[in-house]
Amino acid sequence: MAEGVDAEAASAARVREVYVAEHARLWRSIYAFSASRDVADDATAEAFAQVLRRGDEVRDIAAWVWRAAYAIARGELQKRRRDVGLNAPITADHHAGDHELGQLLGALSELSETDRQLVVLCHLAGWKPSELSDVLGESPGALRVRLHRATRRARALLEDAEGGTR
Amino acid sequence: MSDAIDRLKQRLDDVAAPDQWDEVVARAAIPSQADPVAGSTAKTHSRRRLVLWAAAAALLVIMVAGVVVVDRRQPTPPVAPDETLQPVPSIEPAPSTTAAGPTSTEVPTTTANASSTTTTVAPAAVSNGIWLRECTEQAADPTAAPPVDEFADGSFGPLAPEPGMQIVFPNAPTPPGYSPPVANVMRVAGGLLVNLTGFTATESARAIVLVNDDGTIRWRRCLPDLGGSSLAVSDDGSQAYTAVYTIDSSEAEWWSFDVDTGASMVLADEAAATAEAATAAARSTDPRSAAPEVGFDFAGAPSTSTDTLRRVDPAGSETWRRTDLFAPPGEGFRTSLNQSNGTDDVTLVRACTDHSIQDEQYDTDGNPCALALVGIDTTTGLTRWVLEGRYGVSLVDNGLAVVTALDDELRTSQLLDLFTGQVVPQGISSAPGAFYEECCAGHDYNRVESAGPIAWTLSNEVLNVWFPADQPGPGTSVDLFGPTDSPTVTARPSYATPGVCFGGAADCTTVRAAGTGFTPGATVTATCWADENGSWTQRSTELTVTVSPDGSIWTEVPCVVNAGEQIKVTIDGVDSEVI
Repeated sequence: MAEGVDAEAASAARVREVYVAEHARLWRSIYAFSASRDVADDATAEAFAQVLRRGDEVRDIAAWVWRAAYAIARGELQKRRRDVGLNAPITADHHAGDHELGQLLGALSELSETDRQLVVLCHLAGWKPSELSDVLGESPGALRVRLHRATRRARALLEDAEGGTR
Repeated sequence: MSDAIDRLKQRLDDVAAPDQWDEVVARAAIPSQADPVAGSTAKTHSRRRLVLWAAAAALLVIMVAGVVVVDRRQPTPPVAPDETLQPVPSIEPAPSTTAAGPTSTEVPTTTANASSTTTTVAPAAVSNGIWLRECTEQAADPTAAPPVDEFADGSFGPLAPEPGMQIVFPNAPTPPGYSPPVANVMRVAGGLLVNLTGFTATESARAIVLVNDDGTIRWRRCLPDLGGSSLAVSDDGSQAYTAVYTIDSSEAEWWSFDVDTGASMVLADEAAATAEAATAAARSTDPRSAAPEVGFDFAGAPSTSTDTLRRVDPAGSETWRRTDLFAPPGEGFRTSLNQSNGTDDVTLVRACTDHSIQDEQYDTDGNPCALALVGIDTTTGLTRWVLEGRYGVSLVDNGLAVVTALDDELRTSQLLDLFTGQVVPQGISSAPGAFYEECCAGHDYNRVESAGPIAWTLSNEVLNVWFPADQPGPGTSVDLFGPTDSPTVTARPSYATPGVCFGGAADCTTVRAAGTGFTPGATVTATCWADENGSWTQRSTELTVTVSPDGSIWTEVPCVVNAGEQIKVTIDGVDSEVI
C-alpha cells in the first residue's frame, strides 16, 4: 500500500514538473489556436488532469499533454461549429480587453484547423518542425511544405488584420 | 526585423496564463467516463486493441448518459455541459477508425501474427470532398507474377530528359484556407508507393496506391478519417509502414501494408516498434540532412559566436573546423551526407564564404554574404572546389547533386559532379523549374527525391517520375484512382474578385472547377450557372479548356454570385455538384 502511495506521489511529481515547465506555453498555444480563453482553460486543465489520472502509464508526459490538449481543443471547436454552423468562423471570445489581440487571433482562425495548429506550434509555441514530424505523424518533407504554405497565409492574414486595427 | 507572426507572438507572450494546478488536481480526482482508457497501460499494446472496443462502448454510454456525467463534472467550473465528452484525447485510437464502410471485400486483410491484429477497416470508397472523385479500393491481381525490379541494382545518375511517368493527383479544388492534399512517396520493388493525405476543416482522408514502373496500379487503399503521411518500407521490402491517426486520438496506430497485395494489418508490440523505427530511419536518410547527427554542422567556436563549419565525430568531438565558411542565412540546404566513390569522400556545403563584404551579394534575408556551394574533402576539411553564387540544392545522391542557380529566373537545374564540381552534360531535364525545390520544399511546392536510379518530383497536383537516361520509362500518364467510364466535375468557390464581371458591373466569385474522365486533348467549355428561383441562369462567359492527356481538367471560372445563391459549374455538359 505504501509503495502504491509512493508511486502515485512520484507520478504526480513528474506531472507537476511538466506542468511547471510546459503549462503556460501550452495554454497560450491553445489560446492562439482556438482564439478562446475558455477553450484554452478547459483543454489545458483537462489534458493535465487526464495525464495525472494515468499515473505511470504515460512515458513522455509533455508530448502526451500537448497532443491531448490539442485533441480536446479541436473537439471543442468542432462542437462549436456544429452548434453555430459548419462554416461559421470561430467566434473570438473575450480577450481580457485586448481587442487587437482578439482581432489577430480571429484572423488566424481563418486558416484551416490543421494549418493553424502547425503555425501556432511552430511559430508561437516554439516547436521545431523536426520535433513535430513525430508528434503529428507526418514526414518532415510534407510537414515543411504545409508549414511553409501555412506561414505565408498566416502572415498575409495577420498583416491584413494589423492594417485593419491600426 | 519582426514580421506579423513575431508581433503576434510578442503580444501573446504578454498574456498571463492562469495557474490551473488546483483545478487539474480536482479534475484528476474525478474518474471521468470521457477518459475511456483510464486504467489501461500505454505499454500493453495488445490490451489496447481490446480497450478500443471498450472505448467505443464507453463513448456510446457517454452519449446516452451525458447529463449524468455532466453532473459529476460540476466541480470544474469552466467546462460547459458535455464539453469534454466529444474530444476525448485518448491513448487508444478512436473507434471511428473502424467505422464500417461499404462491405465490399476487394482488398483482403491479412491474418495477424500473435501480437498484431487485423484491421477492421472495411475496404471503402472514400470521397469526403477531398478527392475529385471517389477513391475505390483495388486489390492486387492474385494471378500476377511477382514484380521484377529492373532498377534494384542501379544507382543514381543522369536521368532521361522527359518524365517516364506522370501521375496526376485526383485532388478536388481546395476551398480557401484549406491545405491541398500532401503527397509522400517511397520506392518499393518494381514501383512507387504513393500516399496522398487530404484535409478539410473537419475531416481528412488518405489514399495509398502502389504504382508499378510500367504505369499500372498494383493496388489501391482508401482510408477514411485518418491523418498523417509518414511512410516507410521494411528492410526486406515486403511491408510498408505508416502511422495512422484519428482526429481525436493522441497516439498513432502503426499499420503495415503488404507490398505485393495491399493487405493491411494493425501492428502491436514489437511489430509496431519495428514500424516506428523504420519510419524514423526513413526520415533520417535524406542525403541533404543537416548535421550534427550526420557529422557536419555550423556552430560557434569557443573564441567566437560566429557559426562556422565543423565536422564532429560520433562522440561529439570536433574533427576539423573551417573558420572561413560561415553558416548561410535563412532556411534550406546546408550540408549533405558524406558522398564516397570508394577512394574519395566529399561533402557538399552551402555556406557564406565571406560575411563581411558589403557589395552586391546579399542573401534573400538582406544579410551581406557571399554565398557559394563548396565541395569539401570530408576527411581533411579542405576545399575541393567552389561554385560561387546563390544555389538551391534539390537532391544529393551517389556523388551527384541537383542544383539550381537562384539568379536564373527560369530556375533551370543542373546535375553537378560533387567530386569535380563540374556540371554533368545533359544530366537532367533543362525544362524550367522541373527540379527546382525552393527552400524547405515550400512555395507551390516541388519536392525532389530519389531511390537508386529513379528520381521523382512532387508538386501539389502531379508526381513526375524520372527514369535513368538509358531506361526512360513507359512514357505514360497515370490516373491514381484508375480509369473512369463517365466524366465527373467538382467545383469549389474560391475567392472574390471585385470589379466588372460577366453580365455587367458586379463582383465575381472565382470558382475552381476540376474534372476527370474527359477525352484527352479535347477542347471543352466551362460555364458557371446560378439558380434563380428554380431555373439555372448562366453567370459566366464560356471558358474554353483543353483536356489534359490523362483526361483531367482544372480551371477557374469567374462567376457572378449573389448572396445566398446556389451555383454549379458545367464542363462539356457535365454538371458539378450544386454549391
